[in-house]
Amino acid sequence: MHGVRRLYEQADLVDLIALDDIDLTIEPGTFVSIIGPSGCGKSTLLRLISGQESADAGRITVCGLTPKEAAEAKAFGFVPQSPALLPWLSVLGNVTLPHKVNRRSDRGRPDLEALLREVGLGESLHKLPAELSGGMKQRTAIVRAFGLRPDVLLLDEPFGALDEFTREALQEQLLELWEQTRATVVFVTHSISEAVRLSDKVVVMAPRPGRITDVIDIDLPRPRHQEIITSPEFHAYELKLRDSLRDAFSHGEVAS
Amino acid sequence: MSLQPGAPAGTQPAPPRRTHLLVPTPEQLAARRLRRRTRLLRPAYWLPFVLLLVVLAIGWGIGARQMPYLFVPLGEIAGVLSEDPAYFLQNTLVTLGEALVGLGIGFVAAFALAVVVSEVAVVRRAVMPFAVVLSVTPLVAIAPLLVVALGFGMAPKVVLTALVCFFPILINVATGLRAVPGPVLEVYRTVAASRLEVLRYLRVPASLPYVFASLRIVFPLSMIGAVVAELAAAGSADGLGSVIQVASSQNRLATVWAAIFVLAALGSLLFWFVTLAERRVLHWHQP
Repeated sequence: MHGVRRLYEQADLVDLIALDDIDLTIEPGTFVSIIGPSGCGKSTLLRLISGQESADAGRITVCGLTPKEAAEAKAFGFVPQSPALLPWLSVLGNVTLPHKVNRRSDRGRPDLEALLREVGLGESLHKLPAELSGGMKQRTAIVRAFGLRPDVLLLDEPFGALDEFTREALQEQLLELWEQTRATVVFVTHSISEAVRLSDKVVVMAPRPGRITDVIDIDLPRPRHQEIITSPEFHAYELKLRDSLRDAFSHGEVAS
Repeated sequence: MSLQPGAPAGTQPAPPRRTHLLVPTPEQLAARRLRRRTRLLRPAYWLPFVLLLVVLAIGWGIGARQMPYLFVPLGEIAGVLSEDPAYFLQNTLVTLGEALVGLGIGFVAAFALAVVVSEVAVVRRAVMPFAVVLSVTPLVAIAPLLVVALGFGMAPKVVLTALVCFFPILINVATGLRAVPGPVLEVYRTVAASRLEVLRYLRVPASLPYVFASLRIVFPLSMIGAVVAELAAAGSADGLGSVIQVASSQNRLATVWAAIFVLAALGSLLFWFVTLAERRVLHWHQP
């Protein structure tokens, strides 16, 4: 994406610059996290990539297509912050339904039951979302996105509402699924350790106006298991990212 | 790959020996089932209701003695009912038929318009203000006009019932079709689901709780519509409303009350039916 800008008209009729001058290239097959304080336009960025919103200036291409064309070709899998499951469908029904819409562009259904079993939902295939815990619901949402075999996975703080233990277990499962497919991932998060643990590259953003202040490469070996969290290298990256975020935040304060 | 730590990859983990469920023995299970099934037989459940029923019956008896032009003894009412049950049954079926046909027509029309309204903003802005006003207007008041216009047959009753049911259904379903949460819509829009697909797979199922909420309102309303239309078409046709009209003009109070009791029973039956259907269809829904 190049020189992207997005405006929102506010209640007082003044345009709020939600995103300004965003230049970002994401290599196919990499795991990129976007981190930054609230209100820096992380979610807006995801909606621009997936074609839910249009940029007011600049250009975004996804594998050579416009975002709308890419969505039309089912290039995206999206995991929102809330699991967004349909309460009247079973776990299996929920992960199957995206294959029934826009059928022309469907990339074929992998063995969804096996995928669900892999993330520990084997005994819950026919349960309704109301019978699941928060972590199980979010796992269902992740399988729903992965099951589409997308080129690009967009995750908007998918673990934000979960407790720490569940969060770490789900990070592990997310990495395992990703190692198998190697789709491009754009992962929005608030959490520094989550960003370091998962990503090849962390994009740091600052608010008012939403912009990119830093891009940090995370050069840790994969696969990254639980143990890596306690290694000194991991810690060094966390510190670096924390510094970068502090800079981003103080910039924002000056600008406002 | 597997959740169980230590389980070798690729093999199914052995079933865990300890679970968080305590399964009762067959004898305990049978006892629990019996307890659950006979719950309604315990006095704590039925006694309060029966007591109030007795009080009301006694009150009715006193009322019948004090105000003989309003109340009649319950025995007389029962006598009328048992004397000619076929007469009441036949008139009940007529009223029920009018109510259900009217409700059916009203439902189909209201649902169709609700879909249009929820999909097309221009139509929504035009229609919804009228719908809100008309849903709080006592439409039964046009019954005499309908009788004049459509005659003494079934037509005015069905039309009035359909009209009375139409607007509550329209408002509820139009709300329900728009009750799909934003994140859900976003998930399905990122895979470019068409409007028709969103309607079929997301909006219509999401509206079902609202559909049943409207049915709870509209089943009793349909009875009101049919009976009022019968009252307005005095003495001309069958139906419990006509029975009431004719009998009260001839001062046969017991027959009037008998018809009212039958209407109450019929209304309860319909309500029970809606509740039953709701439990079946909306087992996933937690209000």
